Amino acid sequence: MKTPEDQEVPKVGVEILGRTFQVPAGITAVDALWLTGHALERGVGCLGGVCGACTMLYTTPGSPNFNVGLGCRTVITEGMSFFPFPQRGRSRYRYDLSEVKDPAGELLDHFDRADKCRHCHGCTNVCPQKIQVEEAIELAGKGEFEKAGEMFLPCVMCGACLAECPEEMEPNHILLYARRGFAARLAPPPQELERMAREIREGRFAAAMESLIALSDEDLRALCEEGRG
Amino acid sequence: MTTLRHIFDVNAARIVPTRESRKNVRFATLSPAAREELLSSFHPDYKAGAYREIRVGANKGGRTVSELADLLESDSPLDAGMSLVPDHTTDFLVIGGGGAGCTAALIAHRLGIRAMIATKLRLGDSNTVMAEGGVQAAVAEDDSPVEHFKDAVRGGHYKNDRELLRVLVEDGPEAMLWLCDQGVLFDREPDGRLRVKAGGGTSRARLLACEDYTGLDIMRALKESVVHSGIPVIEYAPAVELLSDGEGRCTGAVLQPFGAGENGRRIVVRAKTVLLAAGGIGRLHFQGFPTSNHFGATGDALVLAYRLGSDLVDIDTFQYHPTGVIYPGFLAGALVTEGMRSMGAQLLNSRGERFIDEMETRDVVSAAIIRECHHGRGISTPSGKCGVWLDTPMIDVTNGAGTLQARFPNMVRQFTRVDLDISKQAILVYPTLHYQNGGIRIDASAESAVPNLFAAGEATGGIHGRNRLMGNSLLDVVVFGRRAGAAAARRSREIDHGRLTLDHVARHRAALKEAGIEEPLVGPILVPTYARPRA
Ligand SMILES: Cc1cc2nc3c(=O)[nH]c(=O)nc-3n(C[C@H](O)[C@H](O)[C@H](O)COP(=O)(O)OP(=O)(O)OC[C@H]3O[C@@H](n4cnc5c(N)ncnc54)[C@H](O)[C@@H]3O)c2cc1C
Ligand code: SF4
Ligand code: SF4
Ligand code: FES
Repeated sequence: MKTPEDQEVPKVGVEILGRTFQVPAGITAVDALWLTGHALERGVGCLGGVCGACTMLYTTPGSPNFNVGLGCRTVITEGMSFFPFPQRGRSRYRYDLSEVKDPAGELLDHFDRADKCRHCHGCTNVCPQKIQVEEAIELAGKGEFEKAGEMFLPCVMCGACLAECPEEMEPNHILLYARRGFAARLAPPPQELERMAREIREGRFAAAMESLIALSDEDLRALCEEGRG
Repeated sequence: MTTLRHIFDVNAARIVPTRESRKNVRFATLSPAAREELLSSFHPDYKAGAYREIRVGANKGGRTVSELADLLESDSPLDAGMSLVPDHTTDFLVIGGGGAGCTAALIAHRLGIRAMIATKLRLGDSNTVMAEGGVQAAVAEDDSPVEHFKDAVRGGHYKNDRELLRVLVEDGPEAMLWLCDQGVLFDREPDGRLRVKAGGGTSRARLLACEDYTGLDIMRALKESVVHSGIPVIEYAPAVELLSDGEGRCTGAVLQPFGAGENGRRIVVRAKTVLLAAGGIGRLHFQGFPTSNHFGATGDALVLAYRLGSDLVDIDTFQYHPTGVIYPGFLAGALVTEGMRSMGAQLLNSRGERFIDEMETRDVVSAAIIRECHHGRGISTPSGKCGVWLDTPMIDVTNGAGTLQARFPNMVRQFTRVDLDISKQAILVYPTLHYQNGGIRIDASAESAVPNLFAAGEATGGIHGRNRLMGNSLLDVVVFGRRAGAAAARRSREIDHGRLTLDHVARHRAALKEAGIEEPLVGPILVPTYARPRA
């Protein structure tokens, strides 16, 4: 399905792991890897830009810097040179969210380097999801977990910021902790869910449900189509 | 190269000027008879030529798509005489590290049971991480599990297993509370109440979401929880066969790590209870459809369970999500969440006309899109495909500028990467193979017909009948993942480890021979073959 579709598409030259290939324009880096015979079992996951398995480093002509991109969502261009990024993004830290009482107050207990940021912009620069990681880290440090967690939402845990951070702070894991901590402890309790779960436990809907389940196919259909087109 | 923008510019005169007048106008709903007629004429499930009879096993005589029939009749990659000395022994082996697998492992672990996860790719590389739109739970004032049940059973064409569906809707709110405890942050209204959205085929607003990154937020939290709780995880090690005690009970599995080669070292895991949480099947590309699924969705769970004697339900029906991207080609199959339609994005044919109520159930909307293309009212792409417009700018027209960006940042980002501004221009869509409606038959404790073999999530069947509603799958994953974890934990306390045999493989081979099936495929296939031989 992911093959180039236009018959007469122009070709572009790309360098993959140091070797040069001609591939059709308009395809992604992952497609290019497949087309050139690289069987990728370890370098792909969702193929939808949300898991980070296909993270790669690449350069383009005329720019000295390397970029970090998601291979399944990066369309290759002439002269691009890329290679899969081996980072697995494993954390050295461990915490049990159910034991965390005061997420913001305990930040340094769980991430002992969380206050070491030297504002090098590294994490923000490498983030393929364009998250303002450095800023979010600063907010988290000030206990502003809601805002930090919100900024963190699109993170695919590719691990690029983790690999980049000279202070080995693990920015992505700090921010995930902030988001989870906020959700579990600081956000307004989900009262509607609590109410509904309680009412179900108390059997408020049991009788209605029993009679619904006991209906004949025909009666169930009539009931459910009622008032609909 | 022709770009999507060029194609749109040619059509814009038929689309842009009518936006204001289309705003908030609901297209007429179909009568039940008209829905049936549309489905039977155009839905891929009704394409008789794509189906064939299954010749062996518990569903012998039943029908399914030929790609799946081939796999159910496939041969094991294992030599029946291989050594089965266990490399690992555990209480509860979870096969598949997506939403259902992680949930079950966490629950069992909390109950003091030794759990272990074996998964095909990395932990969390799954369909779960991709879910965008949201998860259903009845929370609104005017809502209840009863209403939820009615919507789901209507969506499922009244073929749902009613007991399982009852479990789904009644466990739902509790399961969502558990997700909150795991650190999932559902969107709120400014006053702190949960924000609920409408979904296709639902009579009430019932979708909880994390913008359009719902699956990502859930998977990320569960994954972190699994890692931090110390549950052992073996990655890149897909299961290729289950093990049994020779008397029909499941006692473990054989894993085949990637990269080890055809005859590479396999891993034998002995377990008291096993969970198949290996998800869906989109990467088999039935009838040539593109898919929204992750790379590892090759139907392995069905193949494994079937060989050990489990029966499968509703495996003749699949969900083709109406709005998959059809052009540009590199995004082909990628999902455009239904949430966009519930926020006002409309479907238009090449004449710029609407042709279906966008909030109909998915199967109906898909059939309508296929009909438009069939009758020449679609828009041709340079690659020879056909699609219809999804007029995304209607979201801002309907709800105010900036809504699209604020509510669908994921979707906007996917297109911004290729310089397309979907708040200005519509996108081309066509149905994409999205979800396996049926699967392994389970009971209310998520146990299959094979004792000690549990199944949860997309791998199972019955809950959703013949068509799943948006947001009921993530719910199913958590509800039945929790049930499976708890039930397997109970069972693991009651029983000892059993013998490890491949007797069922020998039996399956004999059945293949008897049915005259020569040279079957070797399955499960584990990954689709996109890579070309190196030039
Ligand atoms: C793009 C997209 C959007 C969606 N949006 C929504 C939504 O908004 N709401 C909703 O409710 N549902 C949605 N769904 C459906 C829902 O996400 C899935 O059905 C559900 O998450 C499946 O969960 P699971 O745990 O059963 O399977 P998965 O999450 O797919 O996990 C299965 C795991 O098993 C692994 N595996 C596969 N084979 C093997 C093997 N042989 N051995 C070991 N491991 C194996 C896989 O690699 C994977 O990690 C969406 C699905 C997709 C693809
Ligand atoms: S925040 Fe870090 S881990 Fe997350 S996407 Fe950005 S670079 Fe990757
Ligand atoms: S990379 Fe580390 S030190 Fe640099 S800005 Fe980010 S968090 Fe701070
Ligand atoms: S494969 Fe998941 S982000 Fe590319």
